[in-house]
Amino acid sequence: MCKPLLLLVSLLLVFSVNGQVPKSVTVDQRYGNLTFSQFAKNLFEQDSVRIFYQEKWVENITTPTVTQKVLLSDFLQTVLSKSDLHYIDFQGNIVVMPGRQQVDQRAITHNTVIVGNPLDKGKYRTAVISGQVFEGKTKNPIPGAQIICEALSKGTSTNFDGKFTLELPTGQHKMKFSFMGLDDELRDVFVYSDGSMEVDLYEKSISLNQINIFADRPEDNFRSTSMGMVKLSSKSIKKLSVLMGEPDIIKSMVLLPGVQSAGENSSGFNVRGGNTDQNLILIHDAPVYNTAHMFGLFSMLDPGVVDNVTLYKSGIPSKFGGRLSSVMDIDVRKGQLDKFKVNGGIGLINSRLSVEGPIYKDKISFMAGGRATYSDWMLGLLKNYQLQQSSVSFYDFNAKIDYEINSNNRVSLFGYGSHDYFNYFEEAEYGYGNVIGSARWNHIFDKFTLSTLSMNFSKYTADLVDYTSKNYEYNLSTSIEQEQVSYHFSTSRFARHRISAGMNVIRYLIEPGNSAPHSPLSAAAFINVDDENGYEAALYLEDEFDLTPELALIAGLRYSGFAKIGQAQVKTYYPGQPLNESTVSGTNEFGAGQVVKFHHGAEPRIALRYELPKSSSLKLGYNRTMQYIRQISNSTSITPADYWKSSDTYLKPLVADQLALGYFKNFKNNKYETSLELYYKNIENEVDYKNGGRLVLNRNLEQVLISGIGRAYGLELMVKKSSGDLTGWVAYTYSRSFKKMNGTFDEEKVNGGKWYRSNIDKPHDLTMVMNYKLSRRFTFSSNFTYSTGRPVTLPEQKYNVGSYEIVYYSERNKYRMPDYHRLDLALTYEGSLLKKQKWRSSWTISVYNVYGRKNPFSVYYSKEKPTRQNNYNVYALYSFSVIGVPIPSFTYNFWF
Amino acid sequence: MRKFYQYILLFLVLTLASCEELYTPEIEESPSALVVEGFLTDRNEHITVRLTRSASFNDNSFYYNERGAIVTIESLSGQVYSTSEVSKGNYQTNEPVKTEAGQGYYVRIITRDGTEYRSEVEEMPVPTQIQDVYVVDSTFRDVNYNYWGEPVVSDYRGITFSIRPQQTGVENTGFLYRWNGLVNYLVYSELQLSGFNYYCWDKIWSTTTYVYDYFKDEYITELPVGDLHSLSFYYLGPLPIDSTRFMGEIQRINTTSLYYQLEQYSISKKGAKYWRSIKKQSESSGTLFDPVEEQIVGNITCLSDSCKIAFGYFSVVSASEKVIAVDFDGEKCEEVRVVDSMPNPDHDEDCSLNVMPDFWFN
Repeated sequence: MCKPLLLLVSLLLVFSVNGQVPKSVTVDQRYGNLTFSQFAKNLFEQDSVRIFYQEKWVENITTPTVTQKVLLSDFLQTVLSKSDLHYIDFQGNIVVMPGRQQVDQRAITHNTVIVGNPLDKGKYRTAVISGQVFEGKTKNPIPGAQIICEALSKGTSTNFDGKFTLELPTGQHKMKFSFMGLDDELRDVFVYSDGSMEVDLYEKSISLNQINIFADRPEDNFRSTSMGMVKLSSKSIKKLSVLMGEPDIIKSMVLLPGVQSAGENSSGFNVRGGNTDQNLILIHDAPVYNTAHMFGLFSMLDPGVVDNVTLYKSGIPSKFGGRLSSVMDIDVRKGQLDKFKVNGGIGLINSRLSVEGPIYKDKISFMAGGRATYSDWMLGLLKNYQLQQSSVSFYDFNAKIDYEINSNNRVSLFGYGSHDYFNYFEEAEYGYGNVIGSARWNHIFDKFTLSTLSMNFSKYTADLVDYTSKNYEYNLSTSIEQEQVSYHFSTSRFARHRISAGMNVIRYLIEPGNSAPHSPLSAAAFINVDDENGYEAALYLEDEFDLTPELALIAGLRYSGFAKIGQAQVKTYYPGQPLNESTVSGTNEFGAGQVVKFHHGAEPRIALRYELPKSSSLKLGYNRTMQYIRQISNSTSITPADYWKSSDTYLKPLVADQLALGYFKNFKNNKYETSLELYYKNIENEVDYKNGGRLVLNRNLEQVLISGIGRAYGLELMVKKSSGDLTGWVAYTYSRSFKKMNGTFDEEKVNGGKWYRSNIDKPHDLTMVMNYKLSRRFTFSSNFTYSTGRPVTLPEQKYNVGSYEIVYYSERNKYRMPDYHRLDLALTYEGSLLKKQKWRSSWTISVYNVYGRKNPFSVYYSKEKPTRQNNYNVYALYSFSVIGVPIPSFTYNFWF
Repeated sequence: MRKFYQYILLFLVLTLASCEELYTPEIEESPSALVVEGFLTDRNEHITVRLTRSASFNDNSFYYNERGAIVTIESLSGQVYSTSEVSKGNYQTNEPVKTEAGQGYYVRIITRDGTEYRSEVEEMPVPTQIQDVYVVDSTFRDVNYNYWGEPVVSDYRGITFSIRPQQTGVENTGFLYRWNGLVNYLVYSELQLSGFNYYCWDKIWSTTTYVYDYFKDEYITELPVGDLHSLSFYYLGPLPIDSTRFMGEIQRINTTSLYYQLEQYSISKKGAKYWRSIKKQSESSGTLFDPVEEQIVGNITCLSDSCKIAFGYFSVVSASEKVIAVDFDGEKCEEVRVVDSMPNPDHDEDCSLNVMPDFWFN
């Protein structure tokens, strides 16, 4: 049948139908005296010949009376000639075109698109193309897809709805549509007047012979004004081999330059010398406070629900704030609007399942999924009785509803919950979890201007039950909760400017720690450290400005403030004295709602890109970021016992100034990307801990914290191959991170007030990631990582006091742990690649830590019986490796 | 096929285990430092100061005693008590040291090479009496492994001692606790229709120093001061026993009573922190959640050379004690009462045939 509807909706002609117009097709009297639409319909029904046309071109055409059989081609020529139309034969179909042979038949390919009304030819010098980009397989709109007209050096990207607008001179252009993880699409576009178009992008593994594992937009490397930004699609992440056979977003990010793991299987990561609590991790705009399951073995979110992930290491857009070092923005996929789909995976330790589909076809879609573990069976098989009697488990679930109110309004609701539980042989129980709720309303004012209103809630709780002291069992609970409202507005109405502005307000409620007896028989006391209330608010304005075709600038200003609100009791201290118990002079009482302390400051953000010839560019960026809450921890890894603390009278907000310079160059038509980035970061109000300071359940934390400064600098090199059977990258990072705690008093100094290495100072870091498409079904991948061991404080001397052997430690972080290196391998077998196949599946076999390197997580000294093994020392240093052997895993993934 | 899966699972389980290994990094050698241990009490007794030397961490040699030093205990009021080296590195005052509450005391040391050390001045605290000592029945679980490596879980009945911390008037004071006990048990044997009652006793000591700091330990309303495992009936029972010392065949062994002496030392806040740090360091496990290392800071400084480090602590403490007697009926506390003093039998461990010692009670 004919496709007038398609043309009416989109003003788009896409030629993708196979077949041949038989030369012998003839028309007889049945085709006479019909409207053109009726004629086309009859022709398809009776002779299986399709005609593509636009309704308004032919609305006044009727076919002449036919008295004898004539060839279809002759008949059409007669019919159309009176209306300044002509037709072309394209792959067995008839395409009606305006004018008389205005488009060369040879120029028409299956990628040809006509925008606007060809009858308008010559009327306009420029025209605005409004379009939408979809993922071909799912028909989901793709936000962030890039559209480039290379000959004109003009381009844009799609918004949250996959929509874009681009103004081009009328005429014929070649346009390139690209998105990470998906194959680029080229279109020959004939632009006559304002109009729209749609493009579908497909995964290469299905639609083409080659696979593009790490397929963010290669030209972004040198063309984008932002630097220090990495964008990965979930499809790219899935190809990386990770622990336990499950793709992992966080662990994948750690393979990028400038991002370092906090430790083997530990929660969190470090970006350019920043602590783990300096990363803002957002999922559907809501922050996540703990991103790990099972103490870091798994990331908190099923990778199957992730649409894409963007990590900003520097060049953080003004719309983001509240953390010092990085922002990881995770966007959740939208459920299918037209059909149901099931996606799942079965592994040895955990399984996952998600379902998506329409609630109201083409209007409301849903997606819901969850993961659960069943790892207790492993503990039951261990020889160690304590572990046999232990238990470890986690689950998480998520749900999203998208409502397409109309073409200009969309509402999406997202919910997430997770819980982890660990019980160690009647000695301790840990439980921690996140609850997140987020609502977002996207509104398009016009083709240039859009806005996003977002409201979200996020709560993280951690509970510990300590059974180690009989009759003194106690519960310890901490939590942080925040509610946030944010409004973001952006417009590209002004030529060469993309302006965005907005605001956000956050309310915090922090429970730093509450302790209570675990049972009525327990003699443990009730201890309650006062809850902390606070409000954080920010306004921002940013302009992305193309000064010249080569020079682009992003200039933004964010102004933020934080008010700590009562009820609160604040100790005062005698002036000129260190803050400790003996120098307390009194207590200030603050009532409910009263402002205890207000901190505020400006956070300018500037990025400059100068595009050089031969696909290269030079970029310069400066960022100031402020952080008003921080995690209190004196262990090297994030633990359930850590808690959050807001800035207050004594604890000032963290402030970082980062300057970055980069050179970016692509080779061989963007097949190879290279980058070199240098950065220097100054941090104010860093903290460290006084020797022996107690952090848990401390009502006067200022007495055990020391305030100082920090600095970090480094160099990041990356060479990446983005296309072909062999893809991957090699990244090297040289980075340093130091602190200086030089307070007025001795107890406020660390290492005599000199600069010293921070816990995360790991100068050399090398990652090599390789994916090789062995065949259409088999893909082999490998990761190799190396980094310098992290700083550690080791005992230098030992002595005896009573029955104790005591050690005297070196200066803080004087030594280093052994270097870290590891190789992971994975082989993925894809099931049927046929598009018609409903049940699709893949198997992944992977080995983590192939050569069984015993990478130490920590080095500690411990009391042991004197043996030959410990050289008859009563105390000895030990290294503790979380995973010291190769770990194979097997996962079966399916979707239908 | 099923077995194949089992092998896969077993393999995975075995490979998932974490591991701990001895670690011997290159550590800078540094000169040994003087280590001072001293405990000045208000008991009007001879005081012993022990001087040793520290060793490099990777050095496997013994700790050397510091011999030939001049050690004096001095007060701010001018009293000086000289000492003599009674054994290698142990210096005892030549006369009992009389102390006075509120007075400042310190130790002065001059080593053989002429280097002079001194402890910080500490005031003799006002003695604080122990209030109540609680005895609670408890059960302790222990896991051992038999010859074949199979776990053997045992529950032991026992008792726990605890005290209620001092809540008022002691804000600048911490406490140290040590305890010792005397276990009485009855062994009944028979030989040719004759029965013999052996009244036996055995002294036991705490293996841990308990530290309590008024400010830092507010999260606990009772302080455990018994070594929990040691005071289980498993330990209180006299087994293993040398049966050759009893006539005839042993028919019955009963733990009948226990004397428990709790010593409380009021110490300075800095002293409490020092002992707490020592205890904490010895309990370091190296697990994922261990806090960062804590440097133990003593109160000894080198006067001759400020760059020289010295370790240890000279504590000035006021002591008090409480003794309670616990009478058992099987594995149950039948009676608990406070007694005036701790019995002091001639031998730490012995038995009396058919004659009940005077400290014995039923």
